[in-house]
Amino acid sequence: MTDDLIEQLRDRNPAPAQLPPPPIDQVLARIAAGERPTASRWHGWVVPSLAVIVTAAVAVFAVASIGGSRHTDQAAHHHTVTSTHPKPLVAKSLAGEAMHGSLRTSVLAFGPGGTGVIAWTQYRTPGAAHPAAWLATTTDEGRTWSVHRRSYSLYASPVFDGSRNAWTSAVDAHGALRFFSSHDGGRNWTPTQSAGATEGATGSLSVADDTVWAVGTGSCTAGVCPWVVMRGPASGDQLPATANQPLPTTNHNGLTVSAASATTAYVSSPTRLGSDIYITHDGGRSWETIGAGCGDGRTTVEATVTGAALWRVCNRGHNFEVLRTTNGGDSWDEARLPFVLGDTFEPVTAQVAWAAAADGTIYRTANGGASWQPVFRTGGPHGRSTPGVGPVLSAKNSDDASILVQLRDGPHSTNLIVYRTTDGGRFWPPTVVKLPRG
Amino acid sequence: VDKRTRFEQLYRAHAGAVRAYAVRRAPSEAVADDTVSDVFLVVWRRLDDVPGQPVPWLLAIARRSLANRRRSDRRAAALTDRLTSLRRPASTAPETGDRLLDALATLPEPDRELLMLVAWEGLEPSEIAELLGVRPGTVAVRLHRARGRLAAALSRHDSTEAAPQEARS
Repeated sequence: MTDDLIEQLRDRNPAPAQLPPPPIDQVLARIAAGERPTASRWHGWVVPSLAVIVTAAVAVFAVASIGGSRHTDQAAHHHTVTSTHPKPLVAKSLAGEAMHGSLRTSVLAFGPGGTGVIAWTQYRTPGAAHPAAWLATTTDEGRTWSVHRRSYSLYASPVFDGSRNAWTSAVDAHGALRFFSSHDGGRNWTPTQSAGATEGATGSLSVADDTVWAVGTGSCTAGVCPWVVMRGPASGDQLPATANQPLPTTNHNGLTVSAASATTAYVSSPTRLGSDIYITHDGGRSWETIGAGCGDGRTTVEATVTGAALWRVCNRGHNFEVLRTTNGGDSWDEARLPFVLGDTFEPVTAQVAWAAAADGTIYRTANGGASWQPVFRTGGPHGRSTPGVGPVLSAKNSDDASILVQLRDGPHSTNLIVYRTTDGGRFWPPTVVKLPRG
Repeated sequence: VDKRTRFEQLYRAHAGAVRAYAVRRAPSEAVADDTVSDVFLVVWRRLDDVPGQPVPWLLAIARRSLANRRRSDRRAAALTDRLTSLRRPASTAPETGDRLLDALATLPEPDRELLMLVAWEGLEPSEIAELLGVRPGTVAVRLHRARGRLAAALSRHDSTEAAPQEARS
């Protein structure tokens, strides 16, 4: 009878055969990163748990002060996600992989066909007169990286088209900030001919339908510089000005462009003079404006179009708001942020956006900003790319995002780790980018 | 054979078995994958300690890893629940719709684990003894009792199911 029960139980095996294991690369990356198994990572768990407490407390306060069931659901969401897969990062020494000097790291992007780019500038190199510029590229989705010394220093994360063309802002060998393009997936870059100079800010470039759009500044007179919107083929090396320019001459900085197609683009201006999002549907021949949505005294930091929605980040002083419209700007919904927005806000669809909080936590919304789930924590100041600045976040789509973290485990030891998720933020397998000895 | 090569050989040979073990016990495939990763981090650190027949040793590590994860999940959930005043239903074993699996779910964890190791992992009592860190004779006794308790649980389950039907008729 009982042996028969064992036989019956055997027939109900939920995984009757050996299963294919996860790729060994994930384990090797954890080994290279000096990680310890979960059993000894308990203390790494406590810190995220405290962060959960703070987030949950904020949610409770919201319930108490506003009421309604939506916020309770939001708190429950926080719990569900954070208790499942936070990946607290613990800074560890990587013997033999240290690079001397300090790094400025702000460039991370994945393109099509497994391509990807990381770039960093190494300051205070022993015996060197100038900072050293480095570039790491991958052709296998980030599993392996090859490191190259370059005479130019990438300044902003590149934007890719559907093939192997990419654009970015970079400091050339003479110290000038210029638009650069690459046509081999980001391995080699050359300066371009452009009607305006780049400020280097993220958002200065955008690609859609094999067309690159850019914003920059023209020749300045008495400290006042005209803004120039440019447009050209992504496969080329030139950025001519569009036929007409939408913007009044201004000395404000920080314009961004977001392309919806080869002919439609959105340009946001931080100026408080009138409406501050300009749209063209004919490749820059004519422009119209969207009504103000930031609220009194606030200015647009950036506007990003994602299919059916236009997202906008507003600021007044150091306070950021995220707004979203799905009706062309007739009305705006405010995305309630349970965190202080940091450097990066990356909407990828009308519903999904990724954001880096000021404390280094990465959040994701899947409902247009109604609620946010923390999906990654860097585990403290060691995980910051530079003091006081969060990790570098790059989002490719709803499921695919990556984070570049600079680890310092001493005054002369720095390492880079890329964490990348392809399942919406549940699992973040790391890869160590091996830095050459400085 | 250098360390890296030996590690990769072990991974290729046994990671699938470890993952199957974890999938049967973990709340999700992602947690199962994390467990495999944890197990082989330990393997890397203790490569010289890996026995000639490594499966029981690997499964013992996986078992500890899953237990640690369950503990940390419970503690995090308890803290969050207290703060948010969220009330969850009491933890109950999910009903699978299969009388045998439902009966298995009502057994104490040591009994359940033992039966699963025999039926699903296909381990011999000597291998289970190595995995659990007990003598083979102890495994035989515990297994005998666990089988008996499974049969009893199944009878209880069947009688509970039958009672409402009798009441209706």
